[in-house]
Amino acid sequence: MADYMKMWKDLGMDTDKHDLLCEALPQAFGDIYLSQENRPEFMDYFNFVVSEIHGVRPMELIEHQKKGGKVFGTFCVYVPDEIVFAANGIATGLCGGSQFWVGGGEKVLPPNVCPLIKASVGARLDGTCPFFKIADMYIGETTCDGKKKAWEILADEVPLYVMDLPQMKRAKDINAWAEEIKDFKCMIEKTTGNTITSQSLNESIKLINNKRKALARLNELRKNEALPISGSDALLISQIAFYDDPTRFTEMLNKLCDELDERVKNKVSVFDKNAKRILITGTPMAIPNWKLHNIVETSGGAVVCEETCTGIRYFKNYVDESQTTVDDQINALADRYMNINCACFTPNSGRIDDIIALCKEYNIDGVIDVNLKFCTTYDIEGYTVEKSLQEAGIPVIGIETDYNDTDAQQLKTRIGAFIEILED
Amino acid sequence: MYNGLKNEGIKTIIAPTPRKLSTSCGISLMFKDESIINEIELIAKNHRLHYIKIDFVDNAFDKNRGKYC
Repeated sequence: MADYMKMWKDLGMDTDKHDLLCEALPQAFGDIYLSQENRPEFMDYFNFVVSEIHGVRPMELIEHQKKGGKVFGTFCVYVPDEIVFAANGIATGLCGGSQFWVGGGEKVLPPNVCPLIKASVGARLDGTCPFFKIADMYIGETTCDGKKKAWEILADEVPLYVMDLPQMKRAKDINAWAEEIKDFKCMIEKTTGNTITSQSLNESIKLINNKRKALARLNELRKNEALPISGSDALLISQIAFYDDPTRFTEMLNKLCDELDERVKNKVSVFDKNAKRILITGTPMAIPNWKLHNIVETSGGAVVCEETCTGIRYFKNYVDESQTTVDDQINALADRYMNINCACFTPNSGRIDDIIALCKEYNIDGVIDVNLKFCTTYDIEGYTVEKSLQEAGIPVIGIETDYNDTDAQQLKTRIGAFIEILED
Repeated sequence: MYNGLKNEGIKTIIAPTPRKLSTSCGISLMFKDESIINEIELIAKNHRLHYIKIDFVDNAFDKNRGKYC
């Protein structure tokens, strides 16, 4: 990290504590990412983003604020970024992927809450992440009980707006979500002082759709027998997508995909031909949670697909760009977002269909169903996921973990054994 | 510096600066072949490319270390 000490101090961060994270990052990133052989050259952009993870983008957000702009922190893929960008705001994903932040969350949350929620709260309360300090407002959602109650605690710290996500997907629920987006729009307009027009919303829909298309393009390339990029790299790209500037991110990812196209033509693979093709499904992996991908890809596996919110769920399906009135555009947003198959919904058979379809598309050898500890919704749904996959003849293993290093060797043993028994 | 070296055919990898080398510099350019150091210095001088220093780190990356952040 470059010398952003003044910026961090001005934000009111605990720079001594933050320095502990800065100290750990280079080695962890080097071990997981820079140790890879034959990495695509255009991954250097994403190396740069990580090298400056608490510097460059936070400075850009502060500059935006100095010009009168607003920054909104988000925690969930159901929040429509398009509305924020249409009002000349910036939406930034707030990460909760490090054990470093969990202790801060446990000062106010019970220990039996998922680490993602604890880390998100801890990053704010401990003042150890500039993004959490910069955001003018956080946008929460009623995805799970843990989050719902955590927002009440965070609301003492920072202006917080909660979107009421339906729990079912009936026609009336999709209509309800459209109404919720309309209310969100009104709040964003009031907070930013900018009116959202059909033109500005159309532009932001295209902006975010273009980002989705670039991610879809990357993931299409992972269907190839010769894999031009590792799953760890694909995960990193997906994690960065949540907070990088959308236009720049899309441009750089498309440049990477151009390089990968050439690799595919030349049948260049970053894995041994015997590497087993693994799909990971389950709970999201917020940056810098790289643990499971690292373990799989150092145990004879290649992660070729993620059916998670930091994978396919983030970018699959686009918002209809043909609508010309704000109301119709909001309906289009509601339709697209309500097609995300998260376990917070009931029923959620669409997710099972997605996983089985992806297994065919990506020629999967085995599935790892991963659950963050204390995530009740995904844990319970894991029963149905694993039963369905077994009935479909697809090998699957269920894993529960958190952000600690302490179970890494145990996971390596279990996952290594799973990969070993997968048939050629 | 990255682009300047790349234009001269020297491939480096952008990396977070190891803490052993600096506590205040975020970006480093990583390369493995020590024999090209003189060439890098000459290119930087000829093209007025700015860098702080060239230094060595002797701890290899270990993908099996099992330590995360």
